[in-house]
Amino acid sequence: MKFDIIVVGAGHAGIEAAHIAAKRSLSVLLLTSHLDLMGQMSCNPSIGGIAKGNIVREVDALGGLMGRLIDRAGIHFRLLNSSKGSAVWGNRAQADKVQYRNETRAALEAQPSLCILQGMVKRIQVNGECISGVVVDSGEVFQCNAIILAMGTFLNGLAHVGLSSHPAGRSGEPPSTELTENIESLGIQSGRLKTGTSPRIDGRSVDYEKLERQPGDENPWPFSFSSEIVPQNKTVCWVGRTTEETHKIIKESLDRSPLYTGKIKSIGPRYCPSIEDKVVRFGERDGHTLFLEPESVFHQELYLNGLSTSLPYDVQEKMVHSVAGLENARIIRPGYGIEYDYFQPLQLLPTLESRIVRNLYFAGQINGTSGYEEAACQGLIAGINAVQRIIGEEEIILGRETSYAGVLIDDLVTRGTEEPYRMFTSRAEYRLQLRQDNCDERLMPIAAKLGLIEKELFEKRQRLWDRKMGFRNELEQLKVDPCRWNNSSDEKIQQPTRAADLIRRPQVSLQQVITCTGIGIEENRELRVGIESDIKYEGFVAKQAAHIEKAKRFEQAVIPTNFDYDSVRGLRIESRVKLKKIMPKSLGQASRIPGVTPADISILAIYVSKVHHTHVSRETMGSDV
Amino acid sequence: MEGRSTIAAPATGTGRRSALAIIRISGPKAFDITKKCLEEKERFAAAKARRIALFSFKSIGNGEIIDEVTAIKWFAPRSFTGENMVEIICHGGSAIVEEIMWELQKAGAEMAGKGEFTRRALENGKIDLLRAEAIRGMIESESAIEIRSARHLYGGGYAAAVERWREKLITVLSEIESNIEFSNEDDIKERASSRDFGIEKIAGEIEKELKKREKIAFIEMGLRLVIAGPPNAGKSTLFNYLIGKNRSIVDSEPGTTRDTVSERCRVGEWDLVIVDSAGMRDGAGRIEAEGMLRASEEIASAQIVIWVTASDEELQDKEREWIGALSKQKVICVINKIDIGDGRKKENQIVAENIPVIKISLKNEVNCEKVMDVVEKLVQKIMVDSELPDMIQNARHEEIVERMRNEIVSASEVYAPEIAAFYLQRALQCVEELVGHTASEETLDKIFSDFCIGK
Repeated sequence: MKFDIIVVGAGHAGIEAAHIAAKRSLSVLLLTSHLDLMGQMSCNPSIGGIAKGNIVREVDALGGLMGRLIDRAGIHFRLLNSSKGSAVWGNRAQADKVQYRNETRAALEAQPSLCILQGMVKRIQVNGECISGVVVDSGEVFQCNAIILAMGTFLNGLAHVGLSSHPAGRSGEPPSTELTENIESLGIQSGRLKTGTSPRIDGRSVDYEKLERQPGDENPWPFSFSSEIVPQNKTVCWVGRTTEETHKIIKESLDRSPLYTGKIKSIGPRYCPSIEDKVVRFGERDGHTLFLEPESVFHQELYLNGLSTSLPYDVQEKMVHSVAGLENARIIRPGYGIEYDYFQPLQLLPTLESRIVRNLYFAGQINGTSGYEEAACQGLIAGINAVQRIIGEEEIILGRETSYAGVLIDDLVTRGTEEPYRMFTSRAEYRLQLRQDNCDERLMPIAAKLGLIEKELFEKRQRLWDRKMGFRNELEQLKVDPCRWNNSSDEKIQQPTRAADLIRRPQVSLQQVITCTGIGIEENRELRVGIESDIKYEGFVAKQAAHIEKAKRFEQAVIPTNFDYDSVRGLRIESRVKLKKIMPKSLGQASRIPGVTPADISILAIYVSKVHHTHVSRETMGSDV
Repeated sequence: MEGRSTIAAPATGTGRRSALAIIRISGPKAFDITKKCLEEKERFAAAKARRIALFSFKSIGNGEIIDEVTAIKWFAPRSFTGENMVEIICHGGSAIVEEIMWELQKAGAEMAGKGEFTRRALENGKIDLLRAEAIRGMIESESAIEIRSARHLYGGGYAAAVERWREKLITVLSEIESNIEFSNEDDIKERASSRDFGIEKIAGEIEKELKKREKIAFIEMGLRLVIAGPPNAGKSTLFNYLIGKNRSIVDSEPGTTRDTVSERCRVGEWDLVIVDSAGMRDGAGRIEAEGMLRASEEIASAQIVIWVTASDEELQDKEREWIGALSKQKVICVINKIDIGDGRKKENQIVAENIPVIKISLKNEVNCEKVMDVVEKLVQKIMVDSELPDMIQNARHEEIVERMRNEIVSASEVYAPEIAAFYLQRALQCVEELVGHTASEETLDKIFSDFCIGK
């Protein structure tokens, strides 16, 4: 049987890739190791958060699934950082992991050209420099034009609980054991990473009286722009705290920790440390916060966020019992550390296609990232680009100034990663414009052009943008009278002042201006936040615009594929090695490679323009590279 | 590098007669071009790197020998510029240097632009921007303090100092960032405000750097010494004595110098700008009053003030008031005309104000050399007392640090942490600019335009 595209793995990367490709009417085969576990949340069943929430919105704006799934399957919604500026808000939802899997399957089955098959891929078939198909464990062979690999932590996965370890892809699932070697035989290098997860406890055994209740927001924000569904809080979370006793138990058991006895050698994420790391590194603290998060409304399983560990089961039990409220709690799944193979993403093009094997795409955790959202946006971009390749259209590379997805992929393919990569707002140099409120404006035009989103949705959003612009203009023109204003605000003005200028002041909100002036702005929370954010950040965004413009010209200075760096004299050896390894697509990308200096870039520019017969102007060569 | 021109220029100063001169040639054709001009072509071609040898330099046109020279070959990349280089040492006469340069150009060399050798060294990764600046500093420094500053740049002391500033900024920034990124997570309390992250403290420290720079601006501008005092006390005569020529019009009519007059001269190793100012007196006319206003401005901005007063006149109340207002650390009083009065009473009155007094007669040149001695001591003291800024060694640094200060002040004034971070990021970019990590073509042009040719 032959398909246009085969997607290997039905985690958060794989489902986006398969879905978007099928949405564009290509024939897609999605291979999963377990049909009931598509869209499984193997770690914390939550989606979004600071920076990650923005990625979910971007995925949604580009026609992806994640936003719609979580709006339906979410059971507890909170807007993080809501006391700060909207550029760093992060929408976060606790998911019902059972419902999330069900929603995933339903969404996939709604795509007529998408076939789903349970099976483990054993080998990739290559014809010359291009892929041709896959072989699954039953021996069946499937032909295709492109493959998207999204196996998550399954490759040679090894789970650790204490000093005992067993092969596993996720908890309770077998790993994929032959595929790494097969991929390596194609000339692609693999590495090894580690991550961990927390013990799950039985909600019936928790004394909630002793914990702090954390309800969801009163008016939850949806992730999706489609506004198909109004998110509902269906549960509450609970906050607890480790004690001196907990830390003592951990310290006394470090000789049975696979992390501290050297059994796990791979690098784990610095930003999501295990409780043993936290206790060792911040020994002086008297306690660490724990969040008890329900995994589903259908059962009583609680995720113990903050207690990620790979200590032995008996130690985990003692640790849990040392926390107030959990004295009698029963662990129903122990926490575990997991080591798995990944492929250094420096071996990828910015389209997520392998630089070594044509039409072979890599997405998600196998690229060294961590997090469902990071995985989803890679799956989506890999899916979009595989389609573009097959239908012979131009590939999509999102710029760092357009999206977190762009930042993520550029970081991966330019800088690589040696530890599980998690997205932060501070990784985005243009974060003041990469906000949740404008993901649609930033990305929907691209999505609409490619037919990734429904025409009606795009038109509806366009009408909203028009209204937003109209109100903004009104606010720019409306003069506010000092007498009237000063009565209602501590931010005094001396003379009539434009409403927009008032909003630009840090302490003034759009709401205050509306209340004072009675200006008729539609009562639509999303629209109002959009207007306010646009006005408040406008000045800063403008300051960055020149910078972006300059960077763009730099991005457009394309370095020819197979450019011979050895022909460039004057390049420092360190730079030459790095450039040859990464083979950047443009001078812009080259300039972001750590260790490549502006002097190297100037030299390179001379050669590139010579080869290319394009003129790289002195101005383009300017600063801020 | 392929496609690059070969440049040549004298590396030693021109215009003055000297025993020897050095001419440098750098670029892909440095060896070919030199070979064309030498009698002993094969010997030159076979010469090893960094070995000196004697050759006859001749005219390409008529084959006439121009000079006996020595030449050294340097092979890329182990040369100053990182390219093939030749250094020719010839006799120092300017005509010889010119003729040799002319021959080299006929052989295919281009006349080097300002600072082009150093620029090539920079572009070929042989030196970094700070070293390039340091080289300029060393070439141009005329005082011990400037050389100290250039060495600070060249030896990496400066880079280390800037690195300390970068670390300070990053420490604050990372606190703000973790407050943004991890506000929901373990034990990082959500702080809505960007205040109390210590931004003001850094702003204050940078302000201090700029103040230090302001204080020592005279190192580049020259120390200002102002001669002030009542009319007709001999200010202009002292001015002329100090600079050694008749610059100010001297007349016995009071109020002759109505504007300020200045002249540059050297005291020991320091540059001094000596300023002659209008006489200060009560009840002056409009034009004179304007002159007095300028004089008091000069006094305020000067590092040294010599108050000149005459021995034959009583100390008026107004003059006492003026003297009393002078900053004691920088003032010397000269009582002139001891040929016509002993000035003892005035001396006692002024010494009582804690001001050192020298009694002289400019007319008979009595004690005049003492004035210079005291000035020199005062200059030494000012130099020793001046604290050098860590981060600012030249005008380029000063301009960047000023921008950096402005960004940090903006960061300290805002409430939202993401906006504070925005400004701090820009301040960090300034640090990058300081050490040349993100030097733009523009910056490079600016730096190298101040170079002299041949460096």
